Formats: sequence, structure tokens, C-alpha cells
Amino acid sequence: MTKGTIVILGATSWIARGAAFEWARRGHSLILTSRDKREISRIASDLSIRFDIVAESALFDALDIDSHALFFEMLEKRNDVIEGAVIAFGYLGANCSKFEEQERVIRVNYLGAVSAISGFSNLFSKQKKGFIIGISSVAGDRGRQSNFVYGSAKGALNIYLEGLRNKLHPYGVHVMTVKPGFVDTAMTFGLSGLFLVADPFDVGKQIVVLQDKKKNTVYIPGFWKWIMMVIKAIPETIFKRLKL
Amino acid sequence: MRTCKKEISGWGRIARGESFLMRPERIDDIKNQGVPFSARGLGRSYGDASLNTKNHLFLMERLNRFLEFNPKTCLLRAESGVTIRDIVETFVPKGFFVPVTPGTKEVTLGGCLAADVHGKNHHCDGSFSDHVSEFELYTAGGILKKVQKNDELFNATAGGLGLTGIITEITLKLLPINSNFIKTTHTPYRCLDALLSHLSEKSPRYSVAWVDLMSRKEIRSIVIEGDHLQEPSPIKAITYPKQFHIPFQAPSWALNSFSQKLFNTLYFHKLSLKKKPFISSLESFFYPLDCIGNWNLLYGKRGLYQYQFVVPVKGSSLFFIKLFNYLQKKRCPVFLAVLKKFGPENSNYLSFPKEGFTLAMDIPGNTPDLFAILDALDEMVLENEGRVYLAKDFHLKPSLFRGMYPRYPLFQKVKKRVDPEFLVQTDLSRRLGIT
Repeated sequence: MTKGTIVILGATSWIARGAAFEWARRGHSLILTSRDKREISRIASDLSIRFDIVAESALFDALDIDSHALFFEMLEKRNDVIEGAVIAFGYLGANCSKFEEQERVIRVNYLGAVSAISGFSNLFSKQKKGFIIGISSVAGDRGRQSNFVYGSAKGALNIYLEGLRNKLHPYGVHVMTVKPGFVDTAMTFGLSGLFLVADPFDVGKQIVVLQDKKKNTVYIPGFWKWIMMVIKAIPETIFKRLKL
Repeated sequence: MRTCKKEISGWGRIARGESFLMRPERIDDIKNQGVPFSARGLGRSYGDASLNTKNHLFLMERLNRFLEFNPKTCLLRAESGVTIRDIVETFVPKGFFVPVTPGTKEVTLGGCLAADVHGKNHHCDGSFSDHVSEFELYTAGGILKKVQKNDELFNATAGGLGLTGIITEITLKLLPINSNFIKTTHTPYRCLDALLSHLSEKSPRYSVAWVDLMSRKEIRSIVIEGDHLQEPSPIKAITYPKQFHIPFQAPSWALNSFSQKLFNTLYFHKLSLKKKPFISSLESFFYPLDCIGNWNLLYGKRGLYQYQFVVPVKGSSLFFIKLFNYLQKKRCPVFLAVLKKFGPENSNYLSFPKEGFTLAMDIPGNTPDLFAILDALDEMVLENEGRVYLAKDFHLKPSLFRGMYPRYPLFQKVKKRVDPEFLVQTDLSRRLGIT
């Protein structure tokens, strides 16, 4: 049996690259996208050399929502079976006190993601199989002063994915929400006060394994479930005084 | 890009320094910010070659993409953070091996080129840069330069310890192999002259000698030789056992003269038992130490100094006896020693290998008067027209360095041209007065 193709949007992230390694090792073909053409083609050549698979690269800009329809037309015209999709792009935002920056954070992490996910949702519900993995964040579980704009977009995304999971279940399409904790990426490099930082390749590999098991919402590494349970349990009167 | 202020050390863990670390994930992230900068791979150089105290240091580990491979020409183009491990894991199952490999897989291609590393096959195949046809260099001027063989910037960069800029991409010619096994022979010796004459003869592709310098009575050694098995045998994808990492630094007494004497005696007898040629795996032949990820912690807080030099064949026997006697007189323990015969030198300005015998010695970092002993060794080596290996060095004096590397003025000329403001620096370059 030939293995289906997996599409990874935002494949320049190290978590996405870790997941791509795992799928490539299993012999899946990959379509990798980013808005950085040079980078994504480098990542695609790397995967095809390492694992002798077909890895294609394509441009996909989360902010340029008008262009998304064309991307999905291209996917529909293909002869191969698209088995699943990962939405891995994200934007943390630099200085979120300005509205322009807040808007950009929400456009990428929520609107861009929703546009992409609904594209895959149409595709997969037509073929009555497939999976969608949305890479969200623990930041979406509770608003904190340090990153609540990003958190609010991710929180909205969580609810969107939850509803979609419900809607697509009868069609045999699985939707998984991934909430990574602290992962050793460019976003976190050198930040002080981080503990138990996970290797992005381990996180990527776990995403693939947990998708096999058809998990719904997962924290990676798994102990973040307990950390977030505690954080969510803190009463608001106390939480608002904390500096997290 | 985020910066992280952190203390790091060379592999010997004696040289240390706090730097501003940056970890680019794409080539464009490498930016000259007007502050002295340099690159670091996996930090396997023993001394201070990978350190840049108080300055910017680019960690290259995430620039590790294979870019192009042509099985007909065996040419592989890859980013400089690709490791020998990446190549072995990817290409051995396809029937290719690295043309030159140091004793560990945990090194980046950029590091291999910057130190112009050698392997057990230097007498046959030369050093790493001899198999590099082209590379890309980020220079202090902020541009990426393609550098071809025969360019003087090639000769300055290969073996140039990262001082001409940051190597970003390398085109390397891989070695086709028929099998992932090595036909190996062990030949024990109890006499230095016999060992030296064996190594001087025409030997197989891979040849190296393990030498026991802990025994007072005699110099025991084992010549380990091998070549890739020529008969085609199915190359299986090797499954690599997960590396063992020592969770904490061992106490300094864990490895001591007594334990090493015992180990050496056992090792000598174990290896001598194999009288006939036998088949070993690539893994055990080339990378015996790689099963422990961070073996340098075995030496404990004191760290270790690996001293490696090369001296011409002529007069080497007398030289080694003089050297061993001196070490014994100074009660300087040598836990591990490896001897090998080098072939002719290449045209790079600061590459270490040249025709003669090279000896690498592991000395515990808490040896009394270590640096005075090393100074004396340096004098002896220079007197015998030899040189020490800069990628392992942490004490050489600027004047002796210039004596050992007579082509330094050529290097300096190129350095001045590509980096007129001397922005590319390391702890090593400042110590040796390389400007």
C-alpha cells in the first residue's frame, strides 16, 4: 500500500521538522510550506535526501488569506491521496502593546489558521478520511500578562478545533489539538526561568505517535497537562496578582 | 535573534569562558553586529578553538540540512552544521561513507573543515579538506562567498580554525563502500622501534596504534589496521542504540593511574588475543567512544588535556624516547596515547598534518605543573621540526606557534584581506596573537 501524502504548513518550525522526520522515516510523501521559499526548499531537499521520499515545497503565507483558495485548488487537482495536514505556523509577536502587532498576531495564529483548517476540512470531508493537526499552545489555556494576545488567538483556535472535531467525527476525519509546553526553539532560546525544556524533535515525533492513537487534545510533554491543571485552578483574584 | 549569555567550555573542560550565544536556524540569521564573533559546532575541540569569551558566538548545530547529493559523482552539498553522525546514518545504508573521519561522529562538517581533521587514513587519503571541493563562507563583510579549491581563501579557511569567517555550506566527496564492515587486524608490539617501523611500512587504508605509556617496564602497543570489506555484502540499515549520557561529572579520582594501568593491561591482552584478521562494524572500528555521549565527564572537575603533535620520521625514535623519559621524570600520567603515521602535508596554511609520526596523549587536567610540562614539550617538538595540533591546544605560546606553522604569514595576508577589522576572533586567536 502506498503511503498518503502529508501537508505541513509552517514546516520551517523545528517541531514541524521533527514530525516531518518521523513521517518521512515511515515513507510518507510530504508537501512542506512556508512563506520563506529558500528555507522551505532546503528543508524539503534535506528530507528527500535523508529518507529517499518525495518532499515538495510550496509557498503559503498565513497572512495572505486571499491566496489560500489557490493553494487548496492545487491540492485538489493532485492525483495522490492527501492523508493529513499539520498547521504548524505561528507568530508570537514582538511588541504587543501596539494594535497593529496585536492584529498581526491574531491574523496569523487565528484567522490564517482557520482559513487553512477550513480548506483541509472541506478536502477531507469530501474524501471521507484524513486528519488535521493544529499546533496550538499552553498559552491558550489561560491569559497571562506576558503573552495574552498570542494566548487569546491560540485559545480561540482551541475552541475552533474542538468544534471542528465534533463536526468532522461522522465523516471519519480526525482533528487533534496539540499544546506544546516549553520547547527548545528559536522562540525560547536563552529565555531565563524556563524549566524542563523539551527537544523539538521529540515533540514532533510524539505528535505523529499521538495522531496514530487518535488523541483529541494533547499536551507535549505530557506532564504539562498537570501543570496547566494547576494553573487553571488558581482563582482569578489570586491569579491577577501573579507575575507569570 | 535571541542571545543567551552562558559559560561554555572546550571538550577538555579546562578552557572555559562566558559568551553571548546565538543559535541561527537559517543562514540569513548569521549577522555581523560589529562585535567580534565566531562560530562553534559541537564543541569537540579540546582547547579554546571554539570559545569566544565575552563576544558573540554562533552555535551552528541547527544549520544541518543536506542540500544536494549526486550518487554518480558522490558529491554531497550540505550546511555546515550537518554532523558526521548525520552522514553515517543517512549514507552508509545507501553505500557511502565519509572520506575522512575523526574518532567521533559528534562533529560538524564546519568544524571538520576548520580544523582540517584527519582520520586513521591520512597516509592514504590525506585530511578532510582534501575531499572538499567547494564551500560557502560568511565573511566579516557580511556577504556569503563561494570558495573553490586552489583559491587562497580556501587554503586559509581549511585548517584556519574558523578565523576567516563562518563556514555555512560544504561540498564533500563521499567514499563509495560495498559493505558496512571493516576487515581488521591487530598486531601487538612490546618495543617502540618495531612499532615505528611497522607504521612506516605500506599499510592498509586505516592504520593507527594504541600505545600504553602507563607501564614502566616496556612500551606496549597494538597496531590496529583495517579497510572496508570489498566483497559486496548487504548493507543493512544500522540501528543505533541510544547513546548513554553520564548524568553527572565523575569525581576526579574515578580515573586514576592505578585504574588506567589496570585498564591498559587488560586492553592490551584482550586486543592481542585476536591473532587473525577479523570483521568489525564501522561503528566499533571508528567510533568506540561514541557509545558514551559525554565521556569527558569521566575525568571529573579537573578535565583533561589532549596533547597532540607531529614530528618528522627522521630522528623520531630518539625523540619519542626522550619525550617518554621526560614525562616519566615529571610524573606526568598519560592515560591514553594514540600514534599514527601521517602522509604528506597539503597546501593549507594552518593545517596540522604533515609527513611524520603524530602522537596524541590524554593527560588529566590536575597533573602538577601541567602547563610547565607542556611548554617544555612544545620546545622539544619545535626543535624537532614538529608542530602541535591547534584544535586541541590551550597553552601554546605565540612565538612557538609561528615557528611551528611557517606558512602563517600567508594566512595572515588572507585574513587581513577578508577581515580587515579583525572581527572574526576566538579565544585561541587572541592567545596566539593571530591578528
